[in-house]
Amino acid sequence: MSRPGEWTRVRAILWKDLVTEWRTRTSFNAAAFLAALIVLLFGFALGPDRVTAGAVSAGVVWMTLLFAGVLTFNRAWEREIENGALEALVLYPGDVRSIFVGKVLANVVFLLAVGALVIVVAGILYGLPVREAGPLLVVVFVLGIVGFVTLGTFYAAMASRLRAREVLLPLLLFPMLVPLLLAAVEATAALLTGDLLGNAPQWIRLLIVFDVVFAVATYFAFEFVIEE
Amino acid sequence: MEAQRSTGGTATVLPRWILGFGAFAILFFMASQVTAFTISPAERDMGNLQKILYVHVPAAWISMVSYFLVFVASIGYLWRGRERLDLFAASAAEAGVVLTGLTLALGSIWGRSTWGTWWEWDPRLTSTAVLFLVFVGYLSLRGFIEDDVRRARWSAAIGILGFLNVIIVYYSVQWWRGIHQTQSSPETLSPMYTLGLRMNAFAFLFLMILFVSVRYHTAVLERGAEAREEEEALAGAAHV
Amino acid sequence: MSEWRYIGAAYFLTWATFVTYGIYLARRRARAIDAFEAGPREQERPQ
Repeated sequence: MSRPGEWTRVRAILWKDLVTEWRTRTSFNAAAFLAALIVLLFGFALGPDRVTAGAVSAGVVWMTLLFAGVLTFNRAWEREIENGALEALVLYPGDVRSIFVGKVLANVVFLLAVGALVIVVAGILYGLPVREAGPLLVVVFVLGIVGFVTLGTFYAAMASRLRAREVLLPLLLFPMLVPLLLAAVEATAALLTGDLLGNAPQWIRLLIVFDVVFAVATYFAFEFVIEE
Repeated sequence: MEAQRSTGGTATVLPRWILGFGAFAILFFMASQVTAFTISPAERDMGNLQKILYVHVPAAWISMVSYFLVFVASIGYLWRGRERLDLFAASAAEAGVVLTGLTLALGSIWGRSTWGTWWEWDPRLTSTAVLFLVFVGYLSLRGFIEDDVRRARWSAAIGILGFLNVIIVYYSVQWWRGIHQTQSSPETLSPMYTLGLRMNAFAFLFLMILFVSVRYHTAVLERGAEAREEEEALAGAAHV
Repeated sequence: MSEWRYIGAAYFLTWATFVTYGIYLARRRARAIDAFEAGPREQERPQ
């Protein structure tokens, strides 16, 4: 991304989305509340003994993020489609890709916020040693969300414009997220239990590979998905 | 980049080579199955159960080949815009899904017969399940899109992304299982076994080529009929 | 020997899958030919 115009457009879209969301906060409130609720429900479903174990709680945290997050991606695009802003944005001679990057970044910020809440709530309800897990946990967290949001935003750009969007997005997205889910859960579980086997770095490397591969692929594929 | 329509020059008769090749593929398949079944001796540990691998493993291999065809055709379509590449990709995806579904079912039978369980979270079976879902999603998406150009572009995008995930899924599941459980997948390497396996691999390959070719030609016809409907609808609207 | 049951099931499933898919391909092709040859006038299309 060498042309200055492109980065300006990215920032503009990012700013617009964040400001729009911040003003009403309906999406965030709904997603955050739902996430907290799911964490609580998992506590009931699995039982307090099981969820305080590091491996299970890691799985719960990430599945909660997936369920809560998948709701936001379609909404992010629907906003544009509703007021015809998408067509207007595409008509500009600027690069369509900057729209995608801007949207991804906005969704990343959004989900980082939701995710932080999930960790806090799960940390409290499940008694997770979050602080002892160290800064690597933050790294895992960010990498996992970036990968999730990249693919989620991309697939939602298509699903949100079709009839069965609520079903279609998870159907298309979740199989693609399996490696990310495995890596994020394994790394999180390892870090929450002290990483005695030293597995976390290997999973972090997988997360990085996953993020890079799909960031590049979606970046170049996006223009084929948005043109009218 | 306008996608070229494929309305012109569509014959309703299958090209001669497909008929001949089809007969060959079917005969070769039957021969391979019989050969592998009869010449392979009862293996040390598995007894005769290893014969299941003569269908399970080729199905897995050739489903991967099908998805690779989807990958190449999808890239080709996004690059060139030739609609027939999209139709070919979709045909290959359909064959791939059939073969992957078969792989999973056979893998389940294999697991039940050797280990006693209908499912094992071993790397290969698990990755196959994930890929099955990815390309079922590919075919589902196509069903929801009516505009042919959008259908082609979006399918190509997710076909490429889906195939890129093949390797990543496989290695991630392999590491995952490596941590939790060391499970040896028994593989006999006696020459008789390899011969039977290779023959059947080719047999499945030829059948896949036959399926994809027939499906492709059908898709071209369907697309031609659909295009004509669209033109007719537009012409009708213009007259009114 | 029950192992033959599994082997038989596997081979039967394989053949059945291919035969079924082959029939599906044949039927779909026949329908496509009809649709293609029908031409614009004869196609029923509820407007």
